[in-house]
Amino acid sequence: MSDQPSALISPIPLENVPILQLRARLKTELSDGNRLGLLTAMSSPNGSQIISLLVQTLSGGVRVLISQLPHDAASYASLTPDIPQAHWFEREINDMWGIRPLGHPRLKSLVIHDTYPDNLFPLAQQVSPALMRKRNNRAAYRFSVVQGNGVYEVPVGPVHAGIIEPGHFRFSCLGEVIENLEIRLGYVHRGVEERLTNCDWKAMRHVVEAASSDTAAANAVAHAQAIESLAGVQAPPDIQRLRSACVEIERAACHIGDLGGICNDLGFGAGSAAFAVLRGTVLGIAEMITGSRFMTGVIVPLSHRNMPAKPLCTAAANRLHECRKQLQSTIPLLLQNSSAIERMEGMGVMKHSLAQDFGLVGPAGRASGIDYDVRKVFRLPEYDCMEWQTPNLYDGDVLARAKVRATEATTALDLASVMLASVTPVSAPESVVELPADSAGVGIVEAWRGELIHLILTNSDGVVARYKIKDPSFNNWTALAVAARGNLLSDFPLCNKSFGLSYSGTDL
Amino acid sequence: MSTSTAMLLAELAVEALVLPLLLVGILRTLRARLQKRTGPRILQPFYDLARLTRKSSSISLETGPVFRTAPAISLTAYLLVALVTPWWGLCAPIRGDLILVIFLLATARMAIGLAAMDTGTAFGGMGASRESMLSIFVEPTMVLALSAAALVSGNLWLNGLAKPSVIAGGSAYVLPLAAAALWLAAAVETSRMPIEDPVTHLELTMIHEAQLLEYSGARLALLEYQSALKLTVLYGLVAQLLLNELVIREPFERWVGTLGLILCLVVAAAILDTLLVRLHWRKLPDLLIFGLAFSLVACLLAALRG
Repeated sequence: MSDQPSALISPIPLENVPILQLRARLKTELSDGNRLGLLTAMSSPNGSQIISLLVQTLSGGVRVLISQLPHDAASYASLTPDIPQAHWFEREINDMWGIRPLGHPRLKSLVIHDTYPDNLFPLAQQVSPALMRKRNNRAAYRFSVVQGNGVYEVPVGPVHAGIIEPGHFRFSCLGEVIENLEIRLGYVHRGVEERLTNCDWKAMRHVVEAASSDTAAANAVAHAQAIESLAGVQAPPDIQRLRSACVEIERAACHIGDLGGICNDLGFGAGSAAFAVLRGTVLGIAEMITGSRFMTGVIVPLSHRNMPAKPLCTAAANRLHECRKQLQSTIPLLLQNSSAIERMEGMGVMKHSLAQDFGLVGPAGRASGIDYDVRKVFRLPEYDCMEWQTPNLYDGDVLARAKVRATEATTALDLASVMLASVTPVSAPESVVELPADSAGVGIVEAWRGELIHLILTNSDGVVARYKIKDPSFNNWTALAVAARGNLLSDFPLCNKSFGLSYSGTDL
Repeated sequence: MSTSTAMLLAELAVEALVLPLLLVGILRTLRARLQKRTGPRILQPFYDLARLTRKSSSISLETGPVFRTAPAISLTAYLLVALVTPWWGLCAPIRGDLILVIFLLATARMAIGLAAMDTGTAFGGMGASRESMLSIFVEPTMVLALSAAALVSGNLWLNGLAKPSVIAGGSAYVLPLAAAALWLAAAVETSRMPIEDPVTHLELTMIHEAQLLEYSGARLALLEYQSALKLTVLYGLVAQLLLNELVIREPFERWVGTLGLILCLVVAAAILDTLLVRLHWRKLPDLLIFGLAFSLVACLLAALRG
């Protein structure tokens, strides 16, 4: 069973699709049970290319479509009118590459701010200090304006009172009710994707782990998968099992942490403290098997650094089992607490139809009836270790998201425990591989926030020409803005926490 | 001024300066312990105050004299409340009636509300609007609860509260009801759960705190001390109502009883802060109406009894 090669190891099919046919083609593909995994651009000697990655949700495969733009062409017909989930991807392409999606319904900058010089396209050109000093003629960003008697705006952030990431929230309110929310990100751009095309593949893992540090393990696994998929080799099953166990531990720790965060936003101190203690315990187990509470520096392509010994794995598995028991007695503090339920019920509702349009992923999607889980779709062998289900609810409110996350945290502890118990230490050399020319490598992982994709494309010299990371939050941010509408201003923090999105993962 | 009055004033000064900060320290430490955290030391509020006083204030250029003077005005109002009410179990050095107390509390609220709007920030305006909304419930509750007590003691002077001798044969539920109403009003006034999360850093959920966001340095120190004083005085008044029900007359017994009851209320606040979930903004009237109903019933009972 476990010797069966993963769908990602056989060469990723690359297909050239004329740009004029792309919109119709994607529309057909999406109605045939495929998902738009990501949409991005890259430069080639003959002009820019639009890259679409399709995930076959029924058969568990990935395909990459490449659409060549004519030389010097700086625009194409926007896909968003037919394919709403392309909305942010196209805004990003516009920002980073200067390729304009014509006919995009809401084209404005996504991550490039007013203070930057005009005509700055970070991925399409070499960004030098001289360029950054250029005079700034950029048109000011225009927030959507809600008009009417008594409507006022509340700007929040980008600097917040808590120790959280920077993001600007512009609320248009009528009294206490949110009429519209516009979210502005892009305050943590670090040039991650640019850096990944400029370094040796063995150094990449340090960069990808920092893409979104609360998802360090999932990013490292997706990166390892992508390199292995590109090189056409597979890591030994024990190493894959250990990697998946790390991803599950990360999932459990983050969900438990956010359940505590939900308690905190409810002002429920007892619950907040109980979950915080439990999160610490899970991170302690992570440290036990990897030497790092956030599991950095051990998950590498083809191998695993500092492989834990068998007794250590067994001990960790037992402690995870203990943790699960504690979690089961802690969850009712929140989910069987009638006043907490009353606050969460019907708040921040994300309708199923809208969730489908936005291409929602992860727990937020599963709370709105989107039954999509990478672990199920790609039938990873290590997940056959036990019977387990992904929760699927339809209410789409804060309560549904809290329930989904509580169930997933419990399942994650179970899975991690069973997987770790069956890990036998193996040594796999971090063998030197040559990356093949003109190929694609894909890593796809169900991170705790949902589908995380790493896409590597090499050029004719076998050099990485494009490294694209699609964080799950990228799909879900719009949903948060929409779900907040019609709720009270004082309920927004709770709604926000139930989604628990990443700022840095969206802004590479 | 007689020696006894001077002694009384000195004693009151010490109690009004030390007790509030001590109570806030106890409340915070206790809340932390209940949540399995170590928490700050009990004397931390004193250090905080000293630290804030040493710091310089940064004041927005958009603000006018209202913002600058509001902390002093509202603190003065609360200091006067502390001088005219027998909150500490002994007679107040200055005579004042309940109308004066309500007026002083409203003055403090208005000063802070105006200052919040003076900053021109969205949070300030939002906080002031929320605070005024709640005051619709809190002010009548306080008027009626104190009126009920006044009816029982037979005059409007609040010092009557500290002389239970005038009460003949129990209060027939008037005082416990008034105490409950006043306690609920105090919960709103002092930003306690389930009305407002006192430890939150989320501006969007704040009510009273949102008005104070722009303050720093010495002015913030005044406001911190004021909120501690507010908590102590209001809990002290609740304690007087309960002590009268128990007909404790001896001044020393009353003083000890008051301290004990205030401590009990602080412990209760710490427990409620830990266990309760903050109410939905739209559900707050459902809770606050209880305060109004209790105080109204207390008044009616007192009037019938008289």
